[in-house]
Amino acid sequence: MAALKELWARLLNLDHPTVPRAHVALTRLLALCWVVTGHIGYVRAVRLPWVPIPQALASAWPFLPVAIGVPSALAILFSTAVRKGALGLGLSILVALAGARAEFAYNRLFVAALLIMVALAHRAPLPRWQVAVLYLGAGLDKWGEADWRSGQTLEALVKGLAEFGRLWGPGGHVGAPNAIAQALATAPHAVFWAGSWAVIALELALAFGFALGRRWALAPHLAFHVALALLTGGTFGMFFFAALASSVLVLPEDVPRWPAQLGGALALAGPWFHPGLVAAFGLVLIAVATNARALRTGS
Amino acid sequence: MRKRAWPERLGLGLLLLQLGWIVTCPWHRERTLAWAPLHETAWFRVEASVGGRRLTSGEVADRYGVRGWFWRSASDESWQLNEMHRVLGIIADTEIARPEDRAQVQVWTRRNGRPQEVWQWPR
Repeated sequence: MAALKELWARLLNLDHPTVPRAHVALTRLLALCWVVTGHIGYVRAVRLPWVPIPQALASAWPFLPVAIGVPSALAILFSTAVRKGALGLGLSILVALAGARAEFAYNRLFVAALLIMVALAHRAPLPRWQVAVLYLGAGLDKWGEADWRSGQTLEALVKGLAEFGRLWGPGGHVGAPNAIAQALATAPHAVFWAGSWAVIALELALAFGFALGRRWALAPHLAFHVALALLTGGTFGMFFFAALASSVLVLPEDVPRWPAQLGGALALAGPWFHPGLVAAFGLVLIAVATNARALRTGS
Repeated sequence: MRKRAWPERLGLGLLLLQLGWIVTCPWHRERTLAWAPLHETAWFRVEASVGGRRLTSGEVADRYGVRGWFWRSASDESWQLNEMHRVLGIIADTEIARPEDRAQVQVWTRRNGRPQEVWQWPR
């Protein structure tokens, strides 16, 4: 029992001599999600890797990310070796991505990039800038595509969701009916045109918000990803969780003062703020993992 | 002004690399580091034959690994939410990498709700 209490205390202790508390919080949340959603143990087949791999290494390759990832995640969650753990877990994800071109996913690359930026950062807010680069790339890509500017891509996405059903989320439910998409699929094209430009404008605005560390970015950032989760009925692998976790990067550096700065209601939470934050995040994970009714858009 | 530690310079270099990738993406079309999720949506179906024998749906899935999570068994179609360019590149490079049993491949694609297109390998 005492050992469990010690582990719990370590998990919640964000103090670190050299790593900002927001970076420790981000890294812990990412590692927690990586473990809870089962990504930590997922072994991918080596098939058409990005770089040629010698056969001897290739046979050991599928288990290499797990072998590096598990101790790294434990180090992040329960020790002060946050930078080493972040580097290990980030590299293990990159190794898995490098082993299979067909399994490339932006969500895993994003998690790896955030972890590696935490490992490399000293004074510069590299993880926050990484989020800004993600939004800049996504916004400019859509802006540069005629089908996004005309609303064609968004309309095809919503109609595809109405036809196919919900996307992947921890716990299954791929293809289950998606009531929100079914309702939206009959909307006039102007709605998709307006929605497309709103997404482009929002992503570019969030790129600037995160680059400059503006607190106003928090609400639209969270609203965007919650709306995306409700529309698609899925989490895009780790994207939803990584986006929620990266919210801490636009909050003030001094975590213990967050409750007071966030308003009176949270200030009342006092010492329970950190356990509450972790518990709230855990509840979101459980809700998605168990296909909770609150997140069900169908049936 | 104090010099930055080398890990931080490396991190800044990685961010600049991504920015360069994003800016030059319209020319090289390789979006791996350009952060372009939901670039397009496309339904696609892959048919392949080796030595005149048509591969089963399962054999095609094993060979290329591009079936993904969003696959409908009834129509043997998959749904791609990033870009078809990458899927077609994987199929082409898989065939280049295994000259001993090279396949003839046809991929039927519907991008962004538009009419169906056919892509063939060898080109």
